[in-house]
Amino acid sequence: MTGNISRIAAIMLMAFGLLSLGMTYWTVVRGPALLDLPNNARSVEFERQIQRGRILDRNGQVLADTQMTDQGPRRVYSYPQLAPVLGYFSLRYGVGGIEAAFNDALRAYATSDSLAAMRYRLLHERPVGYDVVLTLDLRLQQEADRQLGNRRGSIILMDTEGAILAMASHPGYDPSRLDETFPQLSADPAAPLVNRATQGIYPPGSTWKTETLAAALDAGVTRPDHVYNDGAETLVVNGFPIRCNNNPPGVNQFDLAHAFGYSCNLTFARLALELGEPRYTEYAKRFRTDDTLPLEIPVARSQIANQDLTNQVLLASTGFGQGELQVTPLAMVMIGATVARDGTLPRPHLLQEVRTPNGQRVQGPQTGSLATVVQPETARQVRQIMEVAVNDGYASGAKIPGVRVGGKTGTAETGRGTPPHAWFLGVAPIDQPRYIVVVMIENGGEGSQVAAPLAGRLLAAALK
Amino acid sequence: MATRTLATRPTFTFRPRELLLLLFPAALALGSFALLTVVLHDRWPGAEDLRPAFGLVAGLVLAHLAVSARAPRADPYLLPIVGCLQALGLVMTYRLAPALAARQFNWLLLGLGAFIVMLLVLPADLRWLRRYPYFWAITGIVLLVITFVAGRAGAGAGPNASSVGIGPFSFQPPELVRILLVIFLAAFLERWRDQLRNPSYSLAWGALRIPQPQAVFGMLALWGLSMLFFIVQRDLGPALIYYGVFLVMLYVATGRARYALAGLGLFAASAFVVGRTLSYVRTRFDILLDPWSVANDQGYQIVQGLISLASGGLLGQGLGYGYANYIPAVHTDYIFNAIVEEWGLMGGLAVLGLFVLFIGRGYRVATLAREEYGQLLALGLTTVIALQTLIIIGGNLKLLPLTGVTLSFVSYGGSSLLTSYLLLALLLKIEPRR
Repeated sequence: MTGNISRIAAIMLMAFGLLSLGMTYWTVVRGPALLDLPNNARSVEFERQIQRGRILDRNGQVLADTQMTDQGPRRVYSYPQLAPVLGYFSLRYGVGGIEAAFNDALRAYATSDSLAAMRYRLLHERPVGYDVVLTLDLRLQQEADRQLGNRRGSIILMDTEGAILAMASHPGYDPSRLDETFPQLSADPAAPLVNRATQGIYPPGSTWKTETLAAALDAGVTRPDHVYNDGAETLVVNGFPIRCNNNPPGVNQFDLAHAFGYSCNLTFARLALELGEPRYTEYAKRFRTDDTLPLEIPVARSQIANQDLTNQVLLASTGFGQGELQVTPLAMVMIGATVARDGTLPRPHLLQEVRTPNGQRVQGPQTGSLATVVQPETARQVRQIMEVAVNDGYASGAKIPGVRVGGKTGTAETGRGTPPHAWFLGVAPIDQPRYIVVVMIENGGEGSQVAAPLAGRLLAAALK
Repeated sequence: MATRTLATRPTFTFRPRELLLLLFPAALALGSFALLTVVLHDRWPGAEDLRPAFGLVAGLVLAHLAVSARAPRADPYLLPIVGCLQALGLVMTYRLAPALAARQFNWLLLGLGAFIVMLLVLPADLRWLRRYPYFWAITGIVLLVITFVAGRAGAGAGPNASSVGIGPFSFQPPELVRILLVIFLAAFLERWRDQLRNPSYSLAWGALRIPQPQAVFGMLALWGLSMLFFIVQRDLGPALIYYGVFLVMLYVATGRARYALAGLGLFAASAFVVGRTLSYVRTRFDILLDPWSVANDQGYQIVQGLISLASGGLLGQGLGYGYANYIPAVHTDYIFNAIVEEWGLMGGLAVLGLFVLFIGRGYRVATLAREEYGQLLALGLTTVIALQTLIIIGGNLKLLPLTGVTLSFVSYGGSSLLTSYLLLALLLKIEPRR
C-alpha cells in the first residue's frame, strides 16, 4: 500500500508542476501581452498615481498643473483659452496637443524609463512628471486672444528664431471639463478641438503674394524698382482674363513695391508665369508651403495645387494667391519668418525646455534653420517692399507709431457665397526684424479692415 | 474502554522542531501586518494593527502545546506549514476585504479552538471512527440533503449556493462532507479491500468476475452521489473532489489501477454527457476556452484574474500595491491570483510549495500510520487538500473550469477554515508506527 501512496504522491507532484508552469506562463510569458489588454484597468490606476508635470510659459507662468485629490489627479489649466495648443489630459479620452506631444516627459517617463519604473515598482515612489516650458509668452498670448475675441480664426506670433510666442485659435473649449463635453466638442461643426493655427487649411489670398514676390526677386525675374503699367491692363491666359482689380482708381503705373502694396493680381500672375512652373514649384517646396511643417503638435499639410502647376491659368492664379492653394496659418507665418531673417526658414517650435521637478534641463528646443530659401538680399528687399505696403498700401491698418512695420493683407475668396477669409502677414521692425505675425479670420471679410489692425496691436504689445 | 484510553494517554512531550518552525508563520504574520499598515495607512504599526498577527501566533502556539500534550509523535511540519498558509490568507483577507476581516479572524480563532479541543478530547486511537462507518455516511448524506433543500430555498441564493444559515452564521456542509466521506471510505475499503482486490463473484458462467454486489453498489452509489451533486449544485468542483478522493483511496487500497481508470472513464463520460445536455455547463466551458471574446461579460472574472497574474509578474507589485479587487469575489475564489499579483510568481510558487510540503507530509503520515485504517484515513484527508488545491488553482489559472472550491487555510470562508482545522486535527491524531 505504501508503494501505491508514493505513486499517488508522484501524480500529485506532477499536477502541481503543471500549475507552476501555468502560473509562469501567465505571469511571465504572456504577462506583457495581458497587461496591454484594454480590459486592464491597472494602466489607468497607474496613471492616477503619477503627479503629471507642469506646463509653463517662457517666463515660468504656470499654464497647466496637477492637483492630487482623493478622486485621483486633477489637471488644472490656469489659462483655458490655450486649450487648442496645450490640448487636454483625460483618463478617458487620452491626451492631445502639447499634453500628447510631451506625454512621456510629463509622466516622468514612468513606463518607458526603466529606472523610474523600477523605482516606482520597488520603492513605490510617486512618479513626479517633468515640467515642460514652452516658448509661449502668456502676456502676448492673452493679447492675441483678446484681439481675436469671439471671431473664428487664429493668430500666430513668432520670433525670428522660429519660437512661437502666441498661438490663438478660436473657438476653444474648457479642457478641464473634457470628460463630460468631449462627445459634443468632437461633433461641433465649429470644430473647437482643432487648432486652427496649425491644422486649419485655407486659401491664403493676397498674403500669398509675399511668396511669389520673394521667388520672383530671388530668381531675378524682377527688381524692386521695376515699373509696371498694369493698372488698367487685362492679361488673358488661355482665355481667362486677369486684371489688377485692387489698385486705387487712376493709379495705373507703379513700381513692384506698390504693385505689392496695391495687391495687383495682374502683376503677380505675370511674375508667376515668368518664373514658370518648375521654378515656382521649387520655391514653394523650399518655403515648405507644399509640405507638412515640423512642429511638436500636429500640423496639417499645405499645398500649392491639387496635382501640379503645369496649367498656365492655375499657375497665374496661384501667383496672386487663389488657384488651388490650401495653406495653414503656420505655413504663412513661416514665409514671413524667412524674409524676416536672412532668407533661411527657421524650425518652428513651441518647446523651450523640458526640465526635472528640481529644475534640471533634460531637453532643449529644436532650433536652427530647415532650409535656405532665398538669398539674404532678397529677404531684405521683400521686407522693404512689405514696409511700403504698410506705409502706402492696404496694409496701413497695421501701422505702429515709431516702429517700421511691414505687412501684407489678404482677402481670400471662399467661393461659396460666404464672406472671404481675412488675412494679415506682418513683420516688425523692418530694420531689425524681431517678430512675425499672422492673423487669419474665417469669413472675416477684408483683410485690410479686419485682420491688419489686430496684427498691429499684437506687434505693438510684443515690441513694448 | 475508558481505562484503556486513560492508560494510553500520552505524556506531554517537548517538540522543539515544531515550535521553532512556528517562527516562520510568526514572522510572516507580524511582518506582513506591519507592512500592510505602513502601506495602506501610512503609519507606524501599533498594537491594534498587529492584533490579528498576535492572535494567530498565540493560537498556533496553543495548538502546538495541544499537539505536544496529546499527539507527541505527530508530524512536526504540518502545523507550521498550515501556520504559514494561514498567515498569508489572513493578511490577504485584511488587505482585500477589510470589512470581512474581523469575521474571518473570529472564524480562525474558532477553527484553532476546535483543533485544540479535538486534540484534547478525542481518544488516542481511532477505533471510534472506524466502528460505525455508515453512521458517518448517513450523516454526510443528511447534510447534503439539507444543503440541497435549505441552500436552494434561501433567498437570493445563486445557483451555486451551498450554504446553510444558522443564526448569524452560515455554514457550508459540503466542506464537512468531504471529511465524513474519507472517514467512511477508509472503513468501507478496509472492510471490502480483499474482495475488491480478488473478485470472487462470477457472472456469465465465470467469464466475468466482479466483486460482491455490496461493494459494487457502494462504489456506484458514490459515483451517483457525485453526479447528483454536479447536476443539482451545478458545480463540478465538489463532485470532482468526492469522486477523486474515492478513486485515489480505491486505488491505494486495492492496488488495482484498472478500477481507478474505469472509474475515471465513467466519471469523464458522464460529466461529458451532462455537460452536453445542460446548457449552463456548456456555456461555462465555452467561456473557459475563449474568455477573451466575452471579456467584459461572462469572461470578466477569468480575464481579470489572468490580468492580475500578469500584473504580478516575477516579483509582484508588493503587498498593498496590487489591484486584485478588480476580480469579482477575489477573497473567496481568486485569493491565489491576488497573492500572485502582490507577491509575484515567487510568492505563488511559495504557496504551491507550501501545499506540496503539506501534501508530502500528509502522505508520509499515511505511509507511517500504524494500522491500515489510519493509512487510508491519512491518505484520504491529504488527498482532499491536494485535490481542492489543484482544482481551485487550476481554475484560477484557466486550466480547469472555475468552481466554488476554496483554497484551504487561505481563502475567505468560515466553514472552509473550520473543516480544514478539523482535517488537520484528525491527520495529526493518526499515530505513526513505533
